[in-house]
Amino acid sequence: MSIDLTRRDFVKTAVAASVAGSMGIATSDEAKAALTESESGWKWDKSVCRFCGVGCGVMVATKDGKIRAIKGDPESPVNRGINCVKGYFNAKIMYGEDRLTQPLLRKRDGAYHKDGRFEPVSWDEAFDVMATKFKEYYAAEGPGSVAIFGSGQYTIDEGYAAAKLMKAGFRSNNIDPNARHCMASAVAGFIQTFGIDEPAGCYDDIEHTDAVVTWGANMAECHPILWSRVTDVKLTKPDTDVINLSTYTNRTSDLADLELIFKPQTDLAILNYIGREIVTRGVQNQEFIDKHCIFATGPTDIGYGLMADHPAEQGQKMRGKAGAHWSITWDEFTKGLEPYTAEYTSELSGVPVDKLKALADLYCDPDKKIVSFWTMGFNQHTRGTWVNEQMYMVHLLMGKMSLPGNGAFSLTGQPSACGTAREVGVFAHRLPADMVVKNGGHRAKSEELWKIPAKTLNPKVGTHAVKMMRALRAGDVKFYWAMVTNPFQDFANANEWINAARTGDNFIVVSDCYPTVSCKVADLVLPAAMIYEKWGAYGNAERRTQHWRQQVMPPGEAKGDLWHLVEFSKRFTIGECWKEQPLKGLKAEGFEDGKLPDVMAAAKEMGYTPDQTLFDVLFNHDGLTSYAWPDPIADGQPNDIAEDYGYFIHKALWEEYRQFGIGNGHDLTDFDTYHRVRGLRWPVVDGQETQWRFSEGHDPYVGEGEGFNFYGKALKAIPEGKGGEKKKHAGKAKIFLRPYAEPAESPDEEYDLWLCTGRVLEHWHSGSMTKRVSELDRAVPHALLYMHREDAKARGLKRGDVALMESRRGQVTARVETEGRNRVPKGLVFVPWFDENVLINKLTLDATCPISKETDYKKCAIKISPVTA
Amino acid sequence: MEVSGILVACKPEHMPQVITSLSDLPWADVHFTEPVGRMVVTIEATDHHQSMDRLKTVKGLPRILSAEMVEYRVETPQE
Repeated sequence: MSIDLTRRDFVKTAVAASVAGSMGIATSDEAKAALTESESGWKWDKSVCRFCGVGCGVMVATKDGKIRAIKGDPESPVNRGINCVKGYFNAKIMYGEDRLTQPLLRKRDGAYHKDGRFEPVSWDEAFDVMATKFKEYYAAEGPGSVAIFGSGQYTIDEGYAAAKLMKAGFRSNNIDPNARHCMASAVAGFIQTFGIDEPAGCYDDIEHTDAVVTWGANMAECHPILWSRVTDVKLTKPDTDVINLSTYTNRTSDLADLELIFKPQTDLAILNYIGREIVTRGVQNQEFIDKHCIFATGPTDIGYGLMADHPAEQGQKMRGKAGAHWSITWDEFTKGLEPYTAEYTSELSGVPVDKLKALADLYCDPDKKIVSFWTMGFNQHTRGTWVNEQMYMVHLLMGKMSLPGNGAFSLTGQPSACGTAREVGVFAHRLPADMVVKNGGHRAKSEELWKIPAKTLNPKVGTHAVKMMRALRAGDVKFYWAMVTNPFQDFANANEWINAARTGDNFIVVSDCYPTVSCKVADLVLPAAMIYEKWGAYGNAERRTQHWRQQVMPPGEAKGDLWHLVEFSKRFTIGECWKEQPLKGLKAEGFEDGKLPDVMAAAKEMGYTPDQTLFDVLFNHDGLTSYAWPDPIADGQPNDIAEDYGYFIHKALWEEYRQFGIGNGHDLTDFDTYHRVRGLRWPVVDGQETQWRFSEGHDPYVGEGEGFNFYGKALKAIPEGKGGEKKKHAGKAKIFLRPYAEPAESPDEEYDLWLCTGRVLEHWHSGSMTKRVSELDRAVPHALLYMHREDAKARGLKRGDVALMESRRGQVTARVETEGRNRVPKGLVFVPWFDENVLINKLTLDATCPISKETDYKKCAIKISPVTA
Repeated sequence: MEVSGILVACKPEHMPQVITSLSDLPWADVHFTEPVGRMVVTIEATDHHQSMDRLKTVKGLPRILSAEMVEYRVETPQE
């Protein structure tokens, strides 16, 4: 069948008219008429992009239950009507041929068997086997034996339900997100510096600033729409300085006035050099420092988060106490910076002195507004927390913080690393709204809001993501449920964990929409609904919370992850979960060592009975079921999950969740409001969002006459000097002194090259969605090994050859690329990690920042040789 | 058939040259222009395999500062 020419021209005219309308470009009446006619019967609804942490607005058109068109949302303050290539395919990713549409269980002779082959099963059979295996481990070994590995791609309600089920229902804190791999260092930096998570500023800083500096963030490829805003500013205000710091030349350098290529890990030294320049030149903002800051430092021999027997951990006396810190004096602070002269820093980093000075000049100019952006280069770092804190050190010294165009801005990689993983508390140590499981007051508040008995919540921090894998190998964690993430491809040193999962006494469940590496490793695969097949909300990197409505129904038997969690909760009684539970290593005030108390007596007083299910008490009580479905805010859109439960579960969970943050610096507003606006940046107080936190006139939590108030509550009381008495510094930010530290592994004679891993524009993370879109796949068909021509030549390799990469942990082959957009210096190679055929994480080292436990994917030593056919 | 609506930007003085090079592409049409250097272009492709390749071709043309997708439609016959 073909479309005749007239129809073809008509459609093009209509699309052009639509684009012109979105972009404010004049068009003709004829074109407008074509647009109206072409969209007859369509319904446009606002939504958000499913991919990175920028949080672009997307408009989705549906007709007869199908998605007809996608466009950038012209009313979105984030992307203002345009989309990057990934945004293009928000709908396409839903229609891959290998989409999972029914549960798959490993079976042999008609029954579950660890070594069986995948067979389609009913949801009932899937949940029956899943609950049986869970109970087998849980009954014998308690809440420590089960774990959920969650995601920064969970919608907010999914993450909230998962955290609630695990923490309030199963009394296990073994829930941690993949955001551990991307944001944990940023989080630790925020908490230690400001006492509260997430950036002070917002994207509007781009239009307000005089200088944009990127540190270990290839924004041009990884945050392209935000980068288009930087490009617009640079084109319209050419005086704007753009500086890119990286370990290799990338597309972000194309727009930059100045590029600094530094040796891995030496960002620590460069930031100290800038700090030293500020104090040596005497240009620091003394009034700001005196009123709003204190100085602090901590131990330095903190190791690299590796297993205790690793050579790099030997002699590291403060392993396990890496987060400790105490206040220091101005003199101690400046003395600590003393070694970082331009010459020393240049020698260490490989950056010429004149470039270092040019960079310092920008930061030191009190009249120049400056915004610093970073992502994984800082966060995936064995001193990730430190380097985040050093960035704040530089900005705080100058008072260039929390003001329009002035700020240090941590970008995010996932659509809801902020909104879900961090804010909801999908971490082993967290509860919603920056509260933590260790704090008795926080637990009590959570127990009250969740309507569960006192002491139901477990006070012991659970196993974080990396530890979870190690616990799986050690047999301590036996039930492992991965949701909206692909851990067996993503984790460093992947071979170890795949082996552990396949050969151990354990049960692995993966909820996903496509057959990823992790699905292949699983015992049970649950088919999930995708973005526009469910209701949801994401929180982006500038604290903007954005909700969307379901647009279409999921295919086959696939269901949203929320439904996976809630259905599973129906198979457990509170009698099973809230009795006395063994918990290895538990030591907490008010708790008997090694066990969680029986809380059933208190539960009965609250009116609960032992045979009630976790579903009854967590997801189906009156406080929630009073949110009726259908609801006018749905505007006729479907909601298969609400239909199943007979009430508007998404709205109910949202309204419950937001109670945690009200008055707590995390205020979110009501569900319906978010469906009427293009997102709001929290804290949202009296309907007003907050663009610049901690700053008078911008943030409702800062009083008149205060100027600034860094009001975060966490870690404000610290010792006065090492071993001193604790003193509280309410309202103050900490300026940290953190030294340069050697990497955990560096190239040597045998393994003579640095390996850095990362993302490319066309693919996103492990590629489980983007690789379904064949044109994305064709554009970058396989992960390439980017290396310097001379390094290739020295190893008998040229562009296009297949090379063998080996580290102390494994080997992988890939094709050599000596040209193209990632131009690496000699001594370093770059390999993207989206390709399951080039499982680069077999090579990477599982070293972490000892404070944040985030893996350093950016640095390890490898060797490369030709593959002889 | 698929139609993508693209916003193309270039310096004002380069507009004639950019319009010419876009017009040379059999699958691209320039619909509306603004003197400041912005123009609305549509790209036609037989399937989604072609859409991105063609967008990339546009992005790679000389003098073009940016070319970004704004709208994307899949057109099915006989609607």
